[in-house]
Amino acid sequence: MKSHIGIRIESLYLALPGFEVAQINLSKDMEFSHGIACVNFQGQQVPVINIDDKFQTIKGGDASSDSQYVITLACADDSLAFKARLALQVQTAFKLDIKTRGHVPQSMKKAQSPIIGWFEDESEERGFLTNTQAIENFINHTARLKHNELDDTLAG
Amino acid sequence: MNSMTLWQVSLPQPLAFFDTSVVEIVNEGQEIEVPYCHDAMGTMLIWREQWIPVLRFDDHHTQLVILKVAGVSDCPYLAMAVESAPVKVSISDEDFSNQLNEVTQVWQPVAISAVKLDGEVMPIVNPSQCLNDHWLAKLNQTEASMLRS
Repeated sequence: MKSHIGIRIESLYLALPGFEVAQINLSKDMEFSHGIACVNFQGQQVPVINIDDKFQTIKGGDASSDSQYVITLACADDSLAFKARLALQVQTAFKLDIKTRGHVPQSMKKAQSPIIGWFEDESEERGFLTNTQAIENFINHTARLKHNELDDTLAG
Repeated sequence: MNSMTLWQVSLPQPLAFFDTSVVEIVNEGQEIEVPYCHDAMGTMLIWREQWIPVLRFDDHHTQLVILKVAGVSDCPYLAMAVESAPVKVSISDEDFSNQLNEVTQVWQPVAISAVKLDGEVMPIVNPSQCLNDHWLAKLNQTEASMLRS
């Protein structure tokens, strides 16, 4: 049984736990409200994020992007309710069987890295393991850094 | 008089490791880039069927020294990319130097000791300290040329 969902963002190949991918839409399904791209998941407007393959550029969902699909990611919150947290624009999304896996040492990663480990699929192609919480933490951390930079700039 | 064996490596700036720290020397290996890592540790090497991080300051360095790491539970080995094949040197007690302040500042936090060879003081590096997050984060802000000076 294929327990993961593989996604591609430019040259980046990621695997997510299958149960955390709540919905897959086409990018053309995105709705824009006050300039923010969202997808509808069970009546909830979930913000869409577009990232590059180096995790250096984060922006809102982009209708002109090469990424044709939007995956809605969910995980359990503090009350253990399973909720959609964010949606990610991706080039492809598919069911994936992981052949081998391992960890990426904590020491080599920057703070709040979204990378949890590495994997090899059935065709021996290598990619990286992640999950909804790790991606959300990374996005929030990056937003805080940018906010602090802006504060420093404004303070002069 | 006690003698001891060190491995001297070149970045081209000289560094040394205790013999017990060096596991293997590899000419070249298959590396994979890992996104969102520290600048000097952005790839992992496939070595003996395991993936280990590579400490690299120059993309052209293909010689890899495999180092044993102690006290880091998720990382028992580390590879360092160096300019040329490491050289084994025998030293005596008199060769040790207490002038760690003469070692380039960036290496001081990761040096166990220092040794003076051919009139030059070089650090004896602790591989485990090279996985220190604070040191690696500081390297992100360091000009590559400083590490080669």
